Amino acid sequence: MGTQLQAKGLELGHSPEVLNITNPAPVMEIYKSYIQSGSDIISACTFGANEYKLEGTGYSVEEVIGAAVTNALKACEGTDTLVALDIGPIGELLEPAGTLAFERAYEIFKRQVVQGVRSGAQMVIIETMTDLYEVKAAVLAAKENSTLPILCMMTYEQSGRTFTGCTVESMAMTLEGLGVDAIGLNCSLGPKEIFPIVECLVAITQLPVAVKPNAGLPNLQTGAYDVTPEIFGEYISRFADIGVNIFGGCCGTTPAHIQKIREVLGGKTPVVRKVLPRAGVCTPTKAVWIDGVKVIGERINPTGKRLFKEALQNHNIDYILGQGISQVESGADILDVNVGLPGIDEAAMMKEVVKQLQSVLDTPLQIDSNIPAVIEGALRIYNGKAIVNSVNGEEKVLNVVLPVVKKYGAAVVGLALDENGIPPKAEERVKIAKKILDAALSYGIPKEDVIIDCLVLTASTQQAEVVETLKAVKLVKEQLGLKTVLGVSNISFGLPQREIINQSFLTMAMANGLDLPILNPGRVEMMDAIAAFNVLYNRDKGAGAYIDYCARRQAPVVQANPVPNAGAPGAVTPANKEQDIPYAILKGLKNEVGAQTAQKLQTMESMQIINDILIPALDVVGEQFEKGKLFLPQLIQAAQAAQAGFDVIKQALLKSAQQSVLKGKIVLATVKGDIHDIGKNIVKVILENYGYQIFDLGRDVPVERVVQCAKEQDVKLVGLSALMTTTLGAMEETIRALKEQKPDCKVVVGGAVLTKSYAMQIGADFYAKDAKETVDAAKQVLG
Amino acid sequence: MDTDKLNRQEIARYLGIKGERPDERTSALVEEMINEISHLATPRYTARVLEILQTPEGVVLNPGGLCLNSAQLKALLKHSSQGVLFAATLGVGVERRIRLYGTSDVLKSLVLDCVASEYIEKYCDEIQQEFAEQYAPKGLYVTRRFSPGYGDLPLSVQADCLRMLDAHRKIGLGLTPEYIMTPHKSVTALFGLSAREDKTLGLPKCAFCSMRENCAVRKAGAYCGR
Repeated sequence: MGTQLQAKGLELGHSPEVLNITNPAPVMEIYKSYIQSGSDIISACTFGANEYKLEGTGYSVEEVIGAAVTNALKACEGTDTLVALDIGPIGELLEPAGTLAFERAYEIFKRQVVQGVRSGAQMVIIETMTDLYEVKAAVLAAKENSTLPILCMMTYEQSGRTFTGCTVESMAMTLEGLGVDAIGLNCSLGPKEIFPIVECLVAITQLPVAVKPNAGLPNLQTGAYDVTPEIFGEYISRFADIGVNIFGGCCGTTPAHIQKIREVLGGKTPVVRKVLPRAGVCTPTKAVWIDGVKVIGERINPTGKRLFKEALQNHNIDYILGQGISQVESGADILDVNVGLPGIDEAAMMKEVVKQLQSVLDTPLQIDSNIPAVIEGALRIYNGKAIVNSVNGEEKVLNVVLPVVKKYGAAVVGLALDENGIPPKAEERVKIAKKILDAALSYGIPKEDVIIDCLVLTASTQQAEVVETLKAVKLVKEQLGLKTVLGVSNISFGLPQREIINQSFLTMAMANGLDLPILNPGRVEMMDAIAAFNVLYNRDKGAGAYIDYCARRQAPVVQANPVPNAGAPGAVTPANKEQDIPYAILKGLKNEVGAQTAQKLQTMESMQIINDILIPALDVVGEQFEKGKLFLPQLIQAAQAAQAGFDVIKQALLKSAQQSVLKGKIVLATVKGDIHDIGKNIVKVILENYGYQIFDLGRDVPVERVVQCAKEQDVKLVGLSALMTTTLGAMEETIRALKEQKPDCKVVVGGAVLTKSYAMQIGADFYAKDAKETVDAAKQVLG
Repeated sequence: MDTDKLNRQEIARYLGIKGERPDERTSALVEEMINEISHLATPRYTARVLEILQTPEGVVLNPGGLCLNSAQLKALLKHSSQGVLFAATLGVGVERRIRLYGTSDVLKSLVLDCVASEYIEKYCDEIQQEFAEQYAPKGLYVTRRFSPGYGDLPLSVQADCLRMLDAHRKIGLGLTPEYIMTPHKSVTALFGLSAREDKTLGLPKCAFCSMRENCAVRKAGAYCGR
C-alpha cells in the first residue's frame, strides 16, 4: 500500500492511514487493482492505525480503522476476496529496550482489533514485526478480542535475525504456542535474500507458512525496487515447491507482481510438508531444543537460602539476577525461577523477576510455582516459550493449570504424584504420568511439551525407592515417549559428602533417560558428569564439546577481571600489615581484599573492620578522585574490591546468625521516562560499599513507586538521576511528591544535564556531581 | 568497522580520565570491551537525500516539507541546496550487554557504554565519508553533521526526522515520548551537500557533538578539541 500510494504521488509524511477518511479514492483504486489482479486477501490500509502513530492527526483509531475496513469491504463487494485488518508495529520500542510496557502495548493493539471486528474485518494480519514481545502483545490482543484467523509475519535481515535479534526458531516456537493460524516473513528483503530464511522456517513449523517479500532491496539513494514481476514469479514457484502456503508482495511490489503469483500458482498443487515435532523452549534470541541433556539451574529459589530470602524481602532484584547470571556462566541452559516466600506478593515478584531476568539474559525460564495466578501472570509477560513447573496427577490441578499452559503455549512439568502422595512403585508413577499426558492432550497441549518429573526421594530415608525413580524415568521414556526432569540434588539430603552421591545419581539417571536435570550448575562435579555422559553415550561426537569443556574447566577460576600489572599479592609489604587492605582497595584487588578481610575477622569485630579499615580506605580513594589523581574507572574498581571485603563479612555474619551491618537505607531510582542508568548503577556500587542498604528501583520509575518505597522502608534519603532535559520534569515531580508525602526524607539528585542551581530550584536537598558527592550527601544525612 | 579506528583517547575522555592516558588496567578493559563490541554491534543506517530550502521560518526539507527552525543549522547549510538526513544505530545487542553488565559489573557497563559512544560517532563519520566520495565528482562537499537537540535545534524534531526516514521500519530505531532514541546508541543527523568546502561553517564546536549533554569536559567549561 505504501509504495503504491507513493506511486500515485502522495508523500507519506505523517499517517497514510488518514487517507481512508480524507482522500479515500486513491486507496479504493489500489484495493480494486489488487482484487482484479487475483488477491484472495487484501489488507485494509490500517498498518499504522494505532494510537501512537495517529497522535496529532486529529483522527481516532476507531475512525481510521472504521473507514479503512469499510472501504476495503466495499471494494471487495461481489468478489470472494477477504479483508484483513492489518496491524504493523506500534513505532515505539517495548521494554526493556524502550519504555513502552507490554501491558500498554496490549491495550494499543486491543483498540485496533476491537474496531476491526466491529467494522467487519475477516481476518487479522500482524506483519513487519521485529520484536517478538510486541508480536505477543498483538497476538494476545487479537485472540482475546476476536475469533478471527490470525496470520503473523515478522521481518528478518539476511543474518536470519530480526533487528531485535529474534531467531526464526523462536518465532515459530512462540507463535505456534500462542495458537496463531499461520506464520511467515515479510518485508525488508527481496525474494532471493529471503529464500534461505523461509527454507529454515518451513523445516521447523507445522503451521501454514506465508511469505511476502519486497520487490528486491531498495536502492539506498533512490529508494527504488528492481525485481520485476517475472523474476518475482520465478521465486514464488520455488517458494511453493518448498511448501510455502500463502504468498504476497510487500514494499515495491505491484498488482502485476500479484497477478504473476496467481499465474505461477495456477499450475501447481500444494506441497504437503512433513515436519517432525520437536521439544524445545526459547527466548526471542535463543532456542533451546531438548534433544539431549539440558541443565536447568536451581538456584533462583529461596528454599533453605537465607540470603535469597533476605533479597526477596528487601526487594533486592540484583541479587536474584546475580544468581541467574552466574548459573548461566556456569552452563545452565534453562533457569528455574521460584520466588515463593510467605509475606511477599508472589505474583508481583514473579512478574518482576521474570521481566528483569529477561532484560539481561537470553536463557529460557521455568516458572516454578503452584499458584495458578502466579503461573498465568508470569506466562503472560514472558517473552518466548517457557516451562511451567508444575502440575501433578490431581484432577483439580490439571483442570486449572493446563488451560493456562495451553493458552500461552508453554511446556509443562508433570509431577508423578497425586492426592495420595508419591507412589512407591515405578509403575504407579508411570500411570500418573500417563494420566497427566492424557489430560494435556485433551487440552490441546502437544506431547512434546509434556515433561515428567518422576520425583527424587532422599537416599538416606527412602533408600529402597531410589531405584524406583530410575526405573520410572526409563519407563516414562520408553512407554510414553516423554521428556523427563529430576531435581537431582535431593537424593543426598542428610548424607555427608553430598557431591559424591549427587554425581553418581545424576549419571545413573541420565543413563536411564533423564533429559533435564535440575541442579546447581556451579557444582563442577555435576557438570563434569554431564560432559562425560555426552561423550560416553556418543552424543558429543568426536568429543569436541568435552575437549572445550575441559579447556574451560582448567582455566583458573579468578573472580572477575584479570589484573594486568596491578600489583601482585607480593607487592603488599608484610611489614606494614595495617596498610594491606587499604592498598588492595586502592589498587582494586578483589581477591586480596577478600582474603585479608577474612584474616582480620579472626581478631577484629566486623563493624570495626568496616568503620576503621574499609570505609577509610574508600575515603582515601574518594579524595584522590576529587583531586583528579584517580578517575572514575579506578573509583569503581576500588569499590568493587571493597565489595569483596563486605561479602566476606556478610557471609561470616550469616554463619553466626547476627544482624546485617547496615548504616542506613537509601532509595535509588532513575526517574520516569529516563532509561540511562549507568550513573545510578555506579552510585549504587559506591554507596553499598559505605555500608548503606540500597533499594534500587531501576530506571523509568514512576513517581508513586519512589514515594511508596520511601514510605514503606522509612528511608531518610532518596537519590534520583535523570540524563535528559526532557526527563527533568519527572524528577521535579518525584521530588515534589516526596516532600509532600515523606517530608522527613532528603533528596539527592544527579545527572549530566543537572546543575547545582537547577537542582535547588526543583527542590532537591543535595546536588551530587558525581558518585563521591553522593557519598558526602549520604554521610551528612545518615552518618 | 575496523576497531583500530576507534579513538582510544576519546574513549578515555568519555570515561572522565583527564591528562595523558588511562592506567594500564583501564586500558586493558577498554580493549576488552572494544573486542566485545566488534561482535555485538550490528550497525545500520538509513538515509535520504533531500532538497534544502532556506526560508524565513527555517530550513525546509523536501519532499515532505519538514521545517527546522534553527539559525545555527541555517548557517551550516549556507551553501547547500541539497542535504542528507540519516539515522544510524548500533542495534540492540550492545544495549543488551550494557544492561547485563549494569547488573553484574558496573565498571564494564560504563566502559562498554563509552566505547559504544565512540563507535557510533566513527560509524557516522564513515557514512558521511561515503557520501563525500559519491558527491565529490559533482563538486559537492559534505558539511559537518547536525542533530536534533544540538544548539538551537529543538530535540522535539527528532520524531519528524525518524518518521521521514521510516527509521523504525528500516533500521529498527524507535523513540520514547521523552525523545530518547531506542536503541540508545543511535544518531540522527542532517548534513549539507555544499557547493563550498568550509569546515568553519556553523557554530560553537560542542553544539555538533552528540556527547554534548553528557560531557564532563564541557561541564567543566572546557572544549575537548575534537
